[in-house]
Amino acid sequence: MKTGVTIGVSVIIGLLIGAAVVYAAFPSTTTTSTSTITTTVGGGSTITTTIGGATSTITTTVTGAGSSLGTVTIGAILDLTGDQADYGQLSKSAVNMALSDVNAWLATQGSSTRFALNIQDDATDPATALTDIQNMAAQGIKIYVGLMTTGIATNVLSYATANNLVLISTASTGTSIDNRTLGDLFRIVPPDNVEGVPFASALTQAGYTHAVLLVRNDPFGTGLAASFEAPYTTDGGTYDVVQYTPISTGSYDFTSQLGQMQSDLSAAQATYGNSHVAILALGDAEIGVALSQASTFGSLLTVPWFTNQVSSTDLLTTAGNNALTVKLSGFQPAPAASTKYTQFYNRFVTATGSVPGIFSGLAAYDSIWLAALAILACGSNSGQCVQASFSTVADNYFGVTGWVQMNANGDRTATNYGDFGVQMVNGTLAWVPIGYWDASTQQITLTNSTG
Amino acid sequence: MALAPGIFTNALLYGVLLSMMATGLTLTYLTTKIPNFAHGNFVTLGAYLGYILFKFYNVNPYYSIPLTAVVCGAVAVFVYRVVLRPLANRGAPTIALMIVTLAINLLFIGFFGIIGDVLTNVYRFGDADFFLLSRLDFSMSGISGVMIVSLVCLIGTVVSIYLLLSKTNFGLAMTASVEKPSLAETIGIKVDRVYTISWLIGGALAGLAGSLIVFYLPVGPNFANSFIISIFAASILGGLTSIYGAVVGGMVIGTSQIVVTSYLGSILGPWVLSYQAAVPILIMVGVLLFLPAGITSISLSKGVAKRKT
Repeated sequence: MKTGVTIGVSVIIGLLIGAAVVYAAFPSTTTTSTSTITTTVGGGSTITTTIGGATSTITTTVTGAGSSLGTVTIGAILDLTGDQADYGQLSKSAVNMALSDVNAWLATQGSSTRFALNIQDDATDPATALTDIQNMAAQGIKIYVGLMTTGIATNVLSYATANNLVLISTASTGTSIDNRTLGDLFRIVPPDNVEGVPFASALTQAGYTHAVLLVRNDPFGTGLAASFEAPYTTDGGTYDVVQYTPISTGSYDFTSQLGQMQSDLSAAQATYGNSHVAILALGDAEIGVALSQASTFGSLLTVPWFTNQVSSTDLLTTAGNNALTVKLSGFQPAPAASTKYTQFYNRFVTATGSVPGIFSGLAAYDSIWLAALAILACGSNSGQCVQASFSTVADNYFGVTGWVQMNANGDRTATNYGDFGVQMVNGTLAWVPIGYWDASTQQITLTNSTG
Repeated sequence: MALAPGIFTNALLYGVLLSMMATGLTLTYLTTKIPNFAHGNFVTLGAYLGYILFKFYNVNPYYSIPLTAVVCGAVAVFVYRVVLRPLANRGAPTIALMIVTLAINLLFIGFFGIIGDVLTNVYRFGDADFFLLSRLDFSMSGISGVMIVSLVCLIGTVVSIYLLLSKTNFGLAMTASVEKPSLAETIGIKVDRVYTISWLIGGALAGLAGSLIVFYLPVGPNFANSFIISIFAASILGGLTSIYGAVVGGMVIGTSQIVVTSYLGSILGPWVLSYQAAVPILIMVGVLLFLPAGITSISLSKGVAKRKT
């Protein structure tokens, strides 16, 4: 008995200490006109691309010293392993493609300046990312791309600021840093405070006056939920929220959450009617697990599901036919229709066998070009100069994601969002564009229904 | 507030799977007195074997159960014979052997990470680090196939163990080896062979659970770390030296982990649901404090329940 008491008390003390330690420590603007964008660097080098249908000319000049900078290394901190490995691996392919394109362009212009990449895996872990940047900063690298989560970007930002490093995030969208002062972090994908708005528009316009939310309990998920709740409530919608905790091992059991969702759904349907309730799942690829496990809770599969995890093939693989049953759909920032995008898309599919998404290749590709152009404009690898000039360079850059226009905080401004649904394509579940959300009108236009 | 029927269904399934895992753990501890913190990795191994056979040869994981059980049992024997037994023979204390199993746990996780990376980067299996094969499951009269098969397997396991222990010479040998190993040796029982076979059975049961769990929960390289606490909680609840206690402990831990959390969530709010993992820990602490020999130490005598001493 004494031994048991001793062991039990020791376990309790250990748990309390552990808990204390843990506590202390965690639009696309779819153009319809043809424009030619000319970017001039160091005296006459040009890049030309064509977008849309009618004709106009936009000339952008980025002047640089013109002299060779030698080989300038850009740091790439990517999620090559961990929760976001599928995005990270595709981003790695994209940054390598961009590097090749930039150097090829410089060669054709007779410039002896070249860029190199130092790619490091942060394992989707903020602490690892900080270690990576510290190691690379010691080698003199000043400009970094990747930093694919808000947690990672936030964790390295103070170090970057103290050491005049520039961070170009290709997938951080969390709202926790929306209102930061313009500094060394630039996020070239639209933040979550915009991403929730298309969902609110979609549910409202489709007549779903009540939503049951399944939300990942971290800054990403809760920020996304907040960006949905405000406009949805303004439009007269009501909602219930069920949260789940991210698990590092990935072994999710959503039984308790699904049970709660079923209760909320039943109550909502009794109040608003069966056809006026939908489910919105905001999280990561584990949403597919929730959708798969929802088979045990039959009524959950009788209403439409929306999710932010558009373009995640892992989600479809896991969810299986349930994704079709619930007419799963969602929104993602949509690249502007352009030959530049189309050419990149085809090259990327050929090279990787995968379709590029905004977080899985497109933004990563543009980030290398932006970094290179900013360095060339400065005529040096100076972090201070690049930080001061980046917004101007970005505002005048038309990439595979369209115009990269930044707001006063260093975040990309709102763009159109593509509406994607799930369909069976050649015997395989796939995300298919079914419409778009217009940032200027906040209206959904469907072009291809999922039925 | 009434809970959704699906909660009880999944709770029962989880309890059944946990019972199989805990039974294997208890069997190896009962015989060799080694708390094996790498036991969860035999479950992961079973899951990965089922996944690989499906991806390469389109074999439904149900059909690969016999092979995965044999392979996982063999790996468990390898771990015991190559690593743990030599250390035990050299007089290594139990705490040292326990730490070694922690190291083996880390090695396995690294191994599965490599396997996952190879499957992802070489064979382009996008879900190799996070796979759930529920889409391959069947259903009968609205009951999922994994529930039916798991229940049958658990019942078969309990019956088989009962017959093995009570009706065979091996069972007698095991009983003798557990109670008085030195005496058993002197009367000609090959105690080490008994221990080896117990590890074989323990590993096979874990592999069996792994083959089935792919239809219910997503599996990745770190999967073992998700369950090891629950497995130990189930074994401790049942009494670390009682195989049948492990079955009971697994059912109690598995069902309560889901049902209790869901019930509290319906009363206190959905925020409670995030703390589901605390349930087995709290139960384990309670058992260690008040009933360290487990629930099977309780005996009913003259209408009064009292602990066996």
